[in-house]
Amino acid sequence: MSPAKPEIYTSRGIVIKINNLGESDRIITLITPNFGLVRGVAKSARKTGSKLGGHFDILKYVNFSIRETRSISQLTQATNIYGFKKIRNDLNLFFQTSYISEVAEKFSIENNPNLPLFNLLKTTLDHIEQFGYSENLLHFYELKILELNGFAPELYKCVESENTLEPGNHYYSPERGGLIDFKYSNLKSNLTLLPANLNTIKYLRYLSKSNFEKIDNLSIDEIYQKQTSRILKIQIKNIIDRSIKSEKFLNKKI
Amino acid sequence: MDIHNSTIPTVTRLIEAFHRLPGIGPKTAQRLTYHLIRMPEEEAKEFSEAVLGIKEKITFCSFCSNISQEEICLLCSNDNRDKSKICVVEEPLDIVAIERTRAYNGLYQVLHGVISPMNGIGPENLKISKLLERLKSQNIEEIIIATNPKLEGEATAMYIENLISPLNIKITRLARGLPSGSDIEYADDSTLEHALNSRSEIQNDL
Ligand SMILES: [Zn+2]
Repeated sequence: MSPAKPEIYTSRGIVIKINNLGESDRIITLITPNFGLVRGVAKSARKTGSKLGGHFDILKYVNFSIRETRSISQLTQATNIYGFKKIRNDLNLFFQTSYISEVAEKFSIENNPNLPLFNLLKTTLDHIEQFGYSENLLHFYELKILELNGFAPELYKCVESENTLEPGNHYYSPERGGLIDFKYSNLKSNLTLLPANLNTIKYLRYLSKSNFEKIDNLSIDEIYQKQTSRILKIQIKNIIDRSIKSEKFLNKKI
Repeated sequence: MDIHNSTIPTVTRLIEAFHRLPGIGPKTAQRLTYHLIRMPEEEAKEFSEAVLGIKEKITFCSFCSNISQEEICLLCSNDNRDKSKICVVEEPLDIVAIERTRAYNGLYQVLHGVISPMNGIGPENLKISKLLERLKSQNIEEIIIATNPKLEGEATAMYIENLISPLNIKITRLARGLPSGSDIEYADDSTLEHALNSRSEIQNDL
């Protein structure tokens, strides 16, 4: 349900993307708490001395005003709330948060408020800004974004037989959105089956019940970390039905 | 205005071609097209030859990747330029802006973009390896990084700095601060912060 929007309105939002438009304008993409994904033109933002240009940069949390027009909306005013300074000054953090922002963008819809998604994105960025980045945090984020968009992976029952899974090594099916009992795996040759060992399953279940405070001290073998990473990334791409351009930057070490 | 409101295919084709150019909306595209229709044939020919000319005759300089008519551009082949300095810019138009100041007499390296993860553009898509080649083969004393002061430009600068810092070449960045003619009241936090950090002492002889 989207509320009727006034012609001019103000909102908070995190800038996630900027593209040049024409000679001196920019298209700014923001994720907001009350209006979902917002895309607007910042007129003359590329010009020196523009009142808008400096505020609208990637990874800035801003207050802004926007005017709805018949074509693309126009961003008219902006003030900075804050701009994740540590992330902005660290190339690796910038690459990692680019993936996080892009996933949030792909799950966001214009004029479709998604407060839980905005809060998840903001809390994740805040957490990285304060404590740094970790694989656990990324997996927690990926799992939570699936859950809050109604795509919570089934981690307790086999999606084929609906039987409760016995402790052991099973498979994960992105098409079916959950675990498949290893006994049923060879019956379904048309499905993508990703290995999910017992420890991977336990890790996913733990993340699902976890919160930001609990995840940082979690330690898990690399092999299960990798299985989890593959399951979550393929699951996300299966749902959004597109590739994520910044994914290749996740493991770029500078 | 509907871009397809012309029923003559030849006219629609040109309107669409103009509309694909940066900064040209449907109205302007239509206005330019109708202007060309009224233009004397000689003038129209001259115009179309100029368009073809940039595709046939323009290439990229094999040293600095700037647009050029020759294999080596006018700046790189000019003996009066200071060949110990390279200024790294995002686009060829940035060279035009810097040249207008007449404050710089060194060489350039055009990256043809910036690192932009969300657009899938990484360092390998830019002319960064070209810059490294030049640093190894030419006698360069200073690299001036002049990418735009936005996150993606900053990230690109950081990447280049990391890459060339082991080479023991002086690396500098363009100073950032308040643009002339602007009001402090309207400056964003990072501009103001940079302006404060790079404040300079007032010279008595000014
Ligand atoms: Zn050149």
